[in-house]
Amino acid sequence: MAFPIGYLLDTLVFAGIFGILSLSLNIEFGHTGLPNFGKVAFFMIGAYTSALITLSGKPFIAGITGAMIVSGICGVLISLPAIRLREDYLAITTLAFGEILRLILKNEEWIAGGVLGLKGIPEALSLKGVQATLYGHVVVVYISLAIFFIFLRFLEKSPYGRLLKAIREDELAAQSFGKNTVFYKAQSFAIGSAVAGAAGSLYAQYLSYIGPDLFMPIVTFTVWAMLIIGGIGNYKGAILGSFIYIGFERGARIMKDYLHLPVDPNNLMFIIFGLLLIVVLLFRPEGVLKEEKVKLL
Amino acid sequence: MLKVVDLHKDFGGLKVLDGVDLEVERNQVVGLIGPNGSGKTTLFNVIAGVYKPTSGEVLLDGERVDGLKPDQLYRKGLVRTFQIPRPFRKLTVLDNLLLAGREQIGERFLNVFRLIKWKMQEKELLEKAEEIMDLLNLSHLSDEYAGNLSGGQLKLLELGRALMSDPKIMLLDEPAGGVNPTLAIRLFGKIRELAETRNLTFFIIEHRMETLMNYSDYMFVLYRGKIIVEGEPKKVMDDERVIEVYLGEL
Repeated sequence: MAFPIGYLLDTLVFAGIFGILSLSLNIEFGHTGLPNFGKVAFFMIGAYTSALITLSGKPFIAGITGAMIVSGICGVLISLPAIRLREDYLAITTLAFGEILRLILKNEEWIAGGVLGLKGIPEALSLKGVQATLYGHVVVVYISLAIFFIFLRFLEKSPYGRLLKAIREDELAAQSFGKNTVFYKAQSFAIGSAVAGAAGSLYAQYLSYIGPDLFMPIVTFTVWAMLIIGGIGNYKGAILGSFIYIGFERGARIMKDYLHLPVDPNNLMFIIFGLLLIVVLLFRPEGVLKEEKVKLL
Repeated sequence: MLKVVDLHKDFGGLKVLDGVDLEVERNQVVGLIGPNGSGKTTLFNVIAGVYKPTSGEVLLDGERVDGLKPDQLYRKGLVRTFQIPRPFRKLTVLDNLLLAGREQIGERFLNVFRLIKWKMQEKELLEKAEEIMDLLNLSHLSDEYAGNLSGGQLKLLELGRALMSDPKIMLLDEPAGGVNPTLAIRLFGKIRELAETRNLTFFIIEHRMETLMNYSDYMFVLYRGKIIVEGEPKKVMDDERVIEVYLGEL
C-alpha cells in the first residue's frame, strides 16, 4: 500500500490550525489567567468573516485580516461585561456566547447560509493538482503558525508579557503597582480572539466549506485539552498539545483498518485521550512542557 | 502629606471605621497600632483605594483621592504592601521588582516592538532592582520564583517592590508580621534609614508596639474604628487608654 501522504498532509494542516488556536488560548489563559470557554466562537467568527470576504472576490490576505479584526473586536465586546468580575463569570459568559452565536448563524439563513453554511470558499493558494494544493495548504498554515508563535513569544519576552503574567498571578497586587488590569485583560482577550480568528480563516479556506455544525462547543474543549496536555503557559507546549491530540485522533482512524477491536476506534480515541488527560493532570499537572522562566529580549 | 478626615466605612450594619481623623507628615515614619479587629487594615484598604469609604475624605498633598482605584493612587505616589504578602508567585524575584517600576514603555502593546527604547529603560530598572536587592539582602534569590520564598523573604520582597516605584508615601501593612524578631529589627532599621536618606514617608501598621516604638516619629492608636490616642511613641505607650485596650482594664 502506498504511503498515505495526503492523509499525513491533512493531519499536519489540522495540527497547525489547532496549534494556532491553542496558542491563542495560551495568551488568554496561560499568561493572563482568563478562562475563555468560548474559544470556538472566535474561531467561528474568523471562519465566517474570512469566508464572506473571500467569497466576495477579495484575496485571502483580506479575508484573514478581516477575520482577525472582527474576531478581535468581538473579543473585546464580549469580554467587557465580565472582565471586571471573577474569572468564572468570564468562563460562563464566553461559553454561552459561543453557543448563542452558533445557533443564530444556524437559524438565520440570510447571514451566512444558515444550516447549509457557506460553500466554495476559495483557497489561499490555488495550485494545480490535489497533492500540490495540499502542500500549499501546509505551507500557508505553517507560515501562519510560525508568525503567530514568534509574535506571541516576542510579547512574552517583553515587559508587556511580564505584566500579563503578573495579572494572572495577583490582579490586586498588579493594580497596586499602577497597572490598569482591566485594560490589559481586554487587550489580551482581543489578541487571543484575533489569533483564533486567523485560525478560523485558515480553517475555512482549507475546508472550502463551513457550516454551524463545525463549531460545536467540543472544539473549545478540544483546544483546552491540547493546552492542558502540552503545557499551560508555554507556547511550545501549546503547539505540542495540538500535535499530540491530532496525532491520537488520526492514529485511531488508521488503527481502525489494522486492528479488529471490540470498540469502534473512533470512540476508543476519546477513551484513550480521556485517560491521557487524567494521567497528565495527576502526574504532570503543568503539562508535558512546563512554563519556563522567561528572560526578556 | 496624607490626611484623613472623618472617615467612615460600614459593611452592612457593621461600622468598621467610625470617624477616623489623622494626618501623616512628610518624611516621617508614622505608626498605626491597635488590637485585632480595630479596623487597621480596613483603614489602609480605604486609603489605598481597595474599598470606597462610606463617607469622609482622604487627601494626598491636599488633593482629594478617596474613591480612586489602586492604580490611580499609585500614579499619585501612594503605594502599599499587604499584610499577607501578595507576590507574583510564578515570576522571579527580579521580575517582581522590575514589574513595580513606574511608567514602563514596554508595557504598552504598541511599544513592545520598539525594542531599543524599552530595553534602555529596562536597563535602568535593572540597576535599580539590583540596588534594592542588595539593600534587602535578596540578591542571591534574584532568579528564584517568588513562590519559593520564605515568609520573611516575602515581606522583604513586598518592601522591595514598593521601593521600586519611587513612591511619595508607602503604606506598609505589618511589614514584620510573621518575621523573626532579629529580621524585624533589621527591617525597621532599613525603613528608618530609607525615610532619612531617600526622603520617604512611611505609614505602618504594626502589631509589635515595642518594635515600632523605637523607629517611628509619631503613632496613632485605632480602637473600634476610632483614633483614641495619638502622639510621640513614648507618650502613646504610657497612655492609660492604650494599656487598657491592649491589656484590659487595670
